[in-house]
Amino acid sequence: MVLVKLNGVKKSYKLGETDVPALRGIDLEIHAGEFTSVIGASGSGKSTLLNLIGCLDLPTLGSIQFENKEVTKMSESELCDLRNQKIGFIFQSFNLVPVLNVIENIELPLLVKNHLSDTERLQRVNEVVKSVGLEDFVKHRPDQLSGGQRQRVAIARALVTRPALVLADEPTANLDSKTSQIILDLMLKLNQESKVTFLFCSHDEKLIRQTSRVVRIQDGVIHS
Amino acid sequence: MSWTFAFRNLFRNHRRTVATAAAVIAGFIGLLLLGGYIHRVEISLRTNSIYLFNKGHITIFKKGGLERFGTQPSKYQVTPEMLAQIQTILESKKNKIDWIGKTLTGAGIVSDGDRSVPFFATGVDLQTLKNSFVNQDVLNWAIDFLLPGTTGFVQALEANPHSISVTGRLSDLLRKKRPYSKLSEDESYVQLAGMTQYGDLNAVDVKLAVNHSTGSEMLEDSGLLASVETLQELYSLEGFHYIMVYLKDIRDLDQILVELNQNFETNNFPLQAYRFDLPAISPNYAGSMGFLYVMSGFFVFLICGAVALSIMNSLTMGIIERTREIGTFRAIGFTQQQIAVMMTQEALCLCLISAALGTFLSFVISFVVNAANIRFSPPGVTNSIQFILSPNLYLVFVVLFIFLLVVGLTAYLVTTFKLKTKIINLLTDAGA
Repeated sequence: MVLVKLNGVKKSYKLGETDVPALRGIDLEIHAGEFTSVIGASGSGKSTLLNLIGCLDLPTLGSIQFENKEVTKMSESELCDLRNQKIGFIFQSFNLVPVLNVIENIELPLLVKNHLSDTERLQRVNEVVKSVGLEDFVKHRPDQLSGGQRQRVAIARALVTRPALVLADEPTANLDSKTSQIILDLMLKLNQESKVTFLFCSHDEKLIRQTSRVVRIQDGVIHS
Repeated sequence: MSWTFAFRNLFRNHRRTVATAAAVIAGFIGLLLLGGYIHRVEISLRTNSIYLFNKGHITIFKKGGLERFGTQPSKYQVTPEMLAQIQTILESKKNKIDWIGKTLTGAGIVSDGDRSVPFFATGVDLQTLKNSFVNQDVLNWAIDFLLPGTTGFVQALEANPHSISVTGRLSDLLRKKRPYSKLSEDESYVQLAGMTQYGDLNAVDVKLAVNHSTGSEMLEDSGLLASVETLQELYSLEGFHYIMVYLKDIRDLDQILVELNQNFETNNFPLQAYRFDLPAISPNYAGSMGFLYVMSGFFVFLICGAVALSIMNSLTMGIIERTREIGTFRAIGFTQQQIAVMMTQEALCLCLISAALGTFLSFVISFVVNAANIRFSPPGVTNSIQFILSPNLYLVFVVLFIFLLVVGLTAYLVTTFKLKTKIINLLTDAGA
C-alpha cells in the first residue's frame, strides 16, 4: 500500500533576491511497512524532502499525497492533525524538552488531542518506553541521560501515537558510531516487529547499507 | 500537565524570571497600596459626608429647594406636613432605616452687644448629632474628621436647647475667651440676628457653650452650630432646609432612593430625594473622589503598561531562547494557539506567584506605614489627617483580576504574533 506519493515536487527558497532550488522535481513512493533511507551529501535536499513529507513545509510546485489525501490542499489545522496522528519525528538534536522527564517528554504528542484517559495514556507511554529499553530512566530529565538514551526517548515520543510513518532526520549525526548502530538496530527492530514505516535520512553509507531500500539524492534530484 | 510545565519553565532562566517577577511584584504592590489608600479615603469622606456633614445617605429637599432654599427659605422649606408624609412613606421600610434627621441652615449676625460678626449656622436635630457621633463607621473611618468640640455640643444642647457652638476664629472675632465655662452668665450669652421669612429682622439669645472646627478653612470665620429649634425660632420657620434618611446598610440606597422618588411622583408630593454623593449635596466628597479616581486611573494605566512591557520583554526572550523547542511542539502536532496558551499559562503562573508575594509585602508595608502615624493636612482643611493604607482581600482580588487580564492578554497576543513563523524556520533556528 502506498503511504506517501510525491509527484513532480519542487521546492525553492528565497535567499535575498534570488531563488535557491532545493528540490528540482521529485517523484517518490513510500510503501507502508518499508524502511527507506535517503542518502545524500550536505545540501543535496534530503532534509527538505523529509520536511515536505512530514508536512513541516509545503512544496513550491507538485503534489504530495499522504494516504491518498493531498496535503498541499490541507488547512493548517488539518496539517497539525496529520502530523500528530500519522507522523512521528526523530530529530538530529533529539529536541527533547529539558524541564520534562522521560515519561512526560514521551507523552507530549498524546496531549495535543487529549482524547485518551490518563490510564490509557500511561499504558501507551509504558509500552513504548519498554520497546526502547528505557524502563529504568523514566523519571530522568534529558540532561541526566546520555546521547543514545536521549535519542531513544525521541524514538519513543515518535512512536507513542502509533503513527503510519516515522521520519528520522539524521538521528545518528550527534552520536558515536557504536551508539549510532544501536539506534539504527532499534529502529530496524521496530520496523520488523511492529511494521512501523521508517524514512531515515543520513549521509553515513555504513548505516544506510543496512536498510532495505535506499534513495540517493543529489542536487535536489533522486538518482536511484 | 500544562500548569506544571508552565511552573517548571519559570526556572529555566532564573535571572529573567526574577527580573520579570520583580516588575510584577512592584506593580502589584503599587496598585494594591494605591487602592488601599483610595479605599480608606472613600470610606472616610463618605462617612464624613453622611454623618458629620449631616447629609444622610439620602437627602430630601422640597422640589427646587436644593438650588433656591438660600434665597427663598419659606417657599422651599420642607414643612412638618411634608416630613410626616416622608415618615409615612418610609414606615414600610423601617427595618432598613436607622433614623430620619432634620437640618436647617441660615445666615445672620452674631453679636455680644459690642461686636457683630456674620455667621453661617447649621441646625441639626439632637438625635442626628447623638447618633452620628457614636456611629461605628465614624469611629472606625472618620475619627480624624470628628473635630474637637463637636461631641461636647451634644451635652451642651441637652443641658440648654439654646446652646450654640462657634468656631475658634469666630470666637476670637467676638473676643470671647475660652473655655466658656469660665465666662460669667452675662458674658456667655450672645444674640443671633437674622431675617425671618416675612422679611423682618429677628433675634434670639443663645448661650456660648463650646467651640468646634468646621474642618474647612473657608468656614472657620463664620461657622456656628445650633439646634434646629433655635434656628426655626430665629427665622420664624416651621420647616427645614432638608431631611436626611440614614440607612442601616448603604447597599439599600439605590432601591430606597428610587422608591422614594417614585412615591413622591405618584402622590404628587413636591419633594425630591438625592444621593449623598452628588456634587451638589457633598461637594467635598464628589470633588475629592473625582480627583482620586482620575489620578488612580492614570497610575493604573502606567503600572499596567510597565507590567505589560516586562511580560512582553520576558516572553520575547523566552520565545527566542526556545525557538527550536516551539518548532518541535509544532512538528508533533500542537497548534499555534495551543502553544500560545502554554506560554500564556507560564506568564500567568509567574503573575500568580508575584501576586502572592506582592500581597504579603503590601500588607507588611501598610502595617509599617500605619504604625508610623504619618499625618498631613490636605489643602483647605484645618486639622491633620493620618495617612492610612488599608488594602484588603477584596482589593487583592480586584488587582489580581486586573493583572491576570493584562498579563494574560499581553502574553497571548505577543506569543500569537511571535509564533506566526514557519515550523521549518523554528526548527532550524540557530539561536535555539
